[in-house]
Amino acid sequence: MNPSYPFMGRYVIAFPVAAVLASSLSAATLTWDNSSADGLWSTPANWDGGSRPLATDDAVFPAGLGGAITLDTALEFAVVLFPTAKTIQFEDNYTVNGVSFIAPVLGVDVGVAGGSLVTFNAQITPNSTLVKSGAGTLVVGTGLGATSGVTINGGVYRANVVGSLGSTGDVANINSGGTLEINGFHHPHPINLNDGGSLKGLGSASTNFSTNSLVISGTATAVSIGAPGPSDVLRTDYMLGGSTSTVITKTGDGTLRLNSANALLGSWVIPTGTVQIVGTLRTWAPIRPDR
Amino acid sequence: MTLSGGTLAVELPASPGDYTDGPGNNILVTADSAFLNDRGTTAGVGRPATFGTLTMGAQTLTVSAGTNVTSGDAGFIFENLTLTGDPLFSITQANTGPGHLAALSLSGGASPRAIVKTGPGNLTLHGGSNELVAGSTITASGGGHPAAELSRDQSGSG
Repeated sequence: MNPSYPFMGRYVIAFPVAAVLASSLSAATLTWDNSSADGLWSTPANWDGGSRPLATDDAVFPAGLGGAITLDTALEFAVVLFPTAKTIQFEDNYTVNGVSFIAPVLGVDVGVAGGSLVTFNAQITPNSTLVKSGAGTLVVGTGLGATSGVTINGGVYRANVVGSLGSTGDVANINSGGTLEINGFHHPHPINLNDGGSLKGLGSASTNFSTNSLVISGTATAVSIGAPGPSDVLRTDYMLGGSTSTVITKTGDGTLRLNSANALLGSWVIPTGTVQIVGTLRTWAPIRPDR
Repeated sequence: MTLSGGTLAVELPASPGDYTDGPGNNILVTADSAFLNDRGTTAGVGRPATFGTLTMGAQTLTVSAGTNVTSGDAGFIFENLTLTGDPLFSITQANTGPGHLAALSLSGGASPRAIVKTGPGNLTLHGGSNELVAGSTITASGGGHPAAELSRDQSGSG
């Protein structure tokens, strides 16, 4: 009989419970340091507080570190715990792989500092809105889990696959300073382009073929739409909204195809690349006899 | 719509396109820019696209019929052309169908204008009450069918 086992057992169990209770009472900012060098989210030693973030915490991946992060599950009290946090702030270049990131019910804010590139290959399940902030670039390489939309408040949100912006019923909102890049696929859900927002297509990209696919805010005074490279093509259908005060600037050397219908107010500026009007347009083109 | 270096392209597979009633009806050119009129993926007869007004100064405007236009009029027709400088129209074709720029009326302003047309395509200018003032010139080269219907005598060549 070894009397130290029950004692040690209580100690080991009691410690994480205490940590959970403490973190639940007040949000903490936990900074990634990857002390164990295993790159695993679940390893407590990889966080400066010695415990992994909870759903009320802010997770910070600092400048000067960078590298790969693996999202993995932890097992506590026979419960599988997925990675979570209230916000995630990246201040350097990181690549995130592994299992799903499960956000709290209020959604998650993913910030990327200016000049940084973060590639998120693990599935993000925002549970409500996924907010992208910061001037850097977030590349989303998988479809999102349950979500009610994506809001881009700053920098670039590059959607690499169908589902990177959510599923049926989800709306992508592009706000001032934010850019949505659709990277080489057809995005089948609505997009709201608000004042100061930017939409780009990489490769061969397109927006929804049904109504309300791309709506420019009626209060927007300046938005931009384009295709960066000379071989990039962004096709839009049923673009509408705007006002007589809205100026839409075509960006990039590629082609913007305005396809089939257009009930859009506002004026266009085309400093570079091509704007291609395809077929007949709802408002622009009531067919009348040739002159 | 302001063209400040880019290209406005239309793709009209079956019918003429009329863009006079919407937000793209009037076009302002502020830097060398281009128009392209083409069909979809099949070759055939080109169709004209009608817009509202075109305003430009001393810029080069390249007007092209696309690679799938083999005949017809793959042109850009404007209700009025207002000149604030001396324009150069480079009117080209990528196949056997010619490019075409036409203005149904012309507003040349108070200064004499020197209009230059190059390339094998067609340029059609109709005058009107505010057409070119005395001393203006129209120079056409490269073939095609340059045509100007003006009420005053102008100096022309080509």
